[in-house]
Amino acid sequence: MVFNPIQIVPELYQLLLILALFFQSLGDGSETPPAERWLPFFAGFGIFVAIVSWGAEGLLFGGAYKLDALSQFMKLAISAGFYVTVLNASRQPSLEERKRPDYFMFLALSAWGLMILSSAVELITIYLALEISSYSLYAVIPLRNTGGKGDPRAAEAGIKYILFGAVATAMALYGFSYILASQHTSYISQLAQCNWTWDGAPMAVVGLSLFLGGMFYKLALFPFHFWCPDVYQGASNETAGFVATLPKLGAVVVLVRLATLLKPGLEITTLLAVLGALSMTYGNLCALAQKDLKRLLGFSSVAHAGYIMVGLVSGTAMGLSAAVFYALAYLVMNLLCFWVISRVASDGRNLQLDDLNGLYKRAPALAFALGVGAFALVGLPPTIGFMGKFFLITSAWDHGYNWLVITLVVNSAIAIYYYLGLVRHAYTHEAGADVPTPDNSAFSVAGASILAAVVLVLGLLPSRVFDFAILAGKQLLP
Amino acid sequence: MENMAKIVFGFYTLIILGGSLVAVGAKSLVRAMVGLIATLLGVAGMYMLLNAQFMALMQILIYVGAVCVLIFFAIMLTRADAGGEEAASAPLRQNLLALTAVLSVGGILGWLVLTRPLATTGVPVEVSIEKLGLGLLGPYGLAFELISVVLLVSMAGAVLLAWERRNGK
Repeated sequence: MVFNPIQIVPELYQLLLILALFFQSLGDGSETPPAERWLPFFAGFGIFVAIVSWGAEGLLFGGAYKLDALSQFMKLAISAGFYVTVLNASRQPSLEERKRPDYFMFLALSAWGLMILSSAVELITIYLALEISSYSLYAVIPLRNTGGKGDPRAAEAGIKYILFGAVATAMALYGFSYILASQHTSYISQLAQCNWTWDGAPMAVVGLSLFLGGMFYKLALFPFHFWCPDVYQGASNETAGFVATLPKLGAVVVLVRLATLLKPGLEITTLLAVLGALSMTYGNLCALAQKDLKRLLGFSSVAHAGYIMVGLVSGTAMGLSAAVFYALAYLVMNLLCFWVISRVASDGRNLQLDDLNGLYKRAPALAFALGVGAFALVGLPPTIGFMGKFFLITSAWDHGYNWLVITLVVNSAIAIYYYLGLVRHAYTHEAGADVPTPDNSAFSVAGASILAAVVLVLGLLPSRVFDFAILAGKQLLP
Repeated sequence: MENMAKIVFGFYTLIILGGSLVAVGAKSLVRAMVGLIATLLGVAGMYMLLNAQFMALMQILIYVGAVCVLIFFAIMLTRADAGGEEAASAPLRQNLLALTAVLSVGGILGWLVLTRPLATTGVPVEVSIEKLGLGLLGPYGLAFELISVVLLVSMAGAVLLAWERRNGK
């Protein structure tokens, strides 16, 4: 087969950005424009670059790298997410001047790893791509500077993320060895023809469960969720905005690819459903008690990881499409919420719920955007969150996991309380004494409005994007 | 011959387990490192038993020869003493919980391996270096290249974080 570089141009472009940042980080930065100035423009251009290879299809690198609708959809979502997070991080108050090129290099590397991940169809390649993405985050999380020195909370978050991540990785690799031992291949296309019942191949079932455990860790699914609120809280707002959004896309892509191995009624499928149900319930109940905004969003990610499982267990193309679409919805909603948080906490502090009091007077645009984000996370129309949940529910109903769908609906009701609590604080409470001054510049308002517009427009007119997600699902499960 | 193999397997297992216990339990970091080296040598022995001489050699060359020496240098340069805060032993409850966790997971996996063994060859098949190389450049070529990026990320990350500590007086 002829290798055509145009097909992988998004990855090559991202690699180019990484190289530029790498060379910039080697110098002392006096002769080059600051990374936070030039990078947003180039990252924004990357979205258009991702469109170039939009319809690419093929199997590269000896069958380990597959370009299909799913991978190209995810690459576009990753470039868009990377653009927003870089733009968000470009005004980071808690980041030292001379560490900026390195910081952005690691963000770019992490996004690059996720791009590779979205095309990888071989287990070891998947594992390595995921490691590239997480190693970069290990380095970035401790970078938070408050009051002239490193923030101990961020160092703690970094250590926690590394150590738990190492355990999850070891578990995934150990599981991989079981899969290899009993199925003798690591290519997903061949694994799909294998027997995955407990009676037929118990070792492979245990192995796949352990391997999935490593992915659950990235997705923060119960019981692998414990790092999530701590890391969000410890890392700076902008870094948390990256950690909370893009790596989840990578985990979803792997889970969607692996879900093609599973049929409803298999032991692993039931395990996924049970973990999903536990995850949404636990995440939502814990979020009820949170005062710190990032912890609250951390537990909300745990709950959302559970929602995504609903799409994976049905074993239909429609279910996989719904999971992919919901991952996109999750990305956009969280980017919006973290954008508002980063702009409201203009001094880089950790926002408490009370810090939002009276936001409608201090920053009406940000308060409105936060309201849109909260409504989307609840899943109220006309937002993308509603459409995402609607697709999940309709795809999963009548495929043997109706109890999971009912759990999802009940949980959405629980979640209303704390998401709308954000709106309540922003609109009905009056500001106290020590509230941060929000950033009301045109940059901040424009970003919030565009993200809010995306949340609303994709909620009103989701069909184009959803059609593409359906195409991705149908290619995986014809 | 088969009994011989079982005896050797038991011997290597004891080395691995003993070494890891020393590595986890020793008060002094240098002793812990010696335990780690014993474990790694035991793993190399397991590779020999699997008829994978090349892997065994690489295990000794890379892990014992390079990584452990590197960690020794790090220990000497940072002068971590045995009386540090992290040297205090964990409370009993924590130890018990950790033991329960290990035993439950290990128990399930052990039960699985013992009761549902996989069909396997009686004698280990030797995989030549040539085959390994072809595999790394053929079906696993992309993974092989990605490993180098993983190394780049970890090294650059280590430099970034260690630099911070030195300047953050």
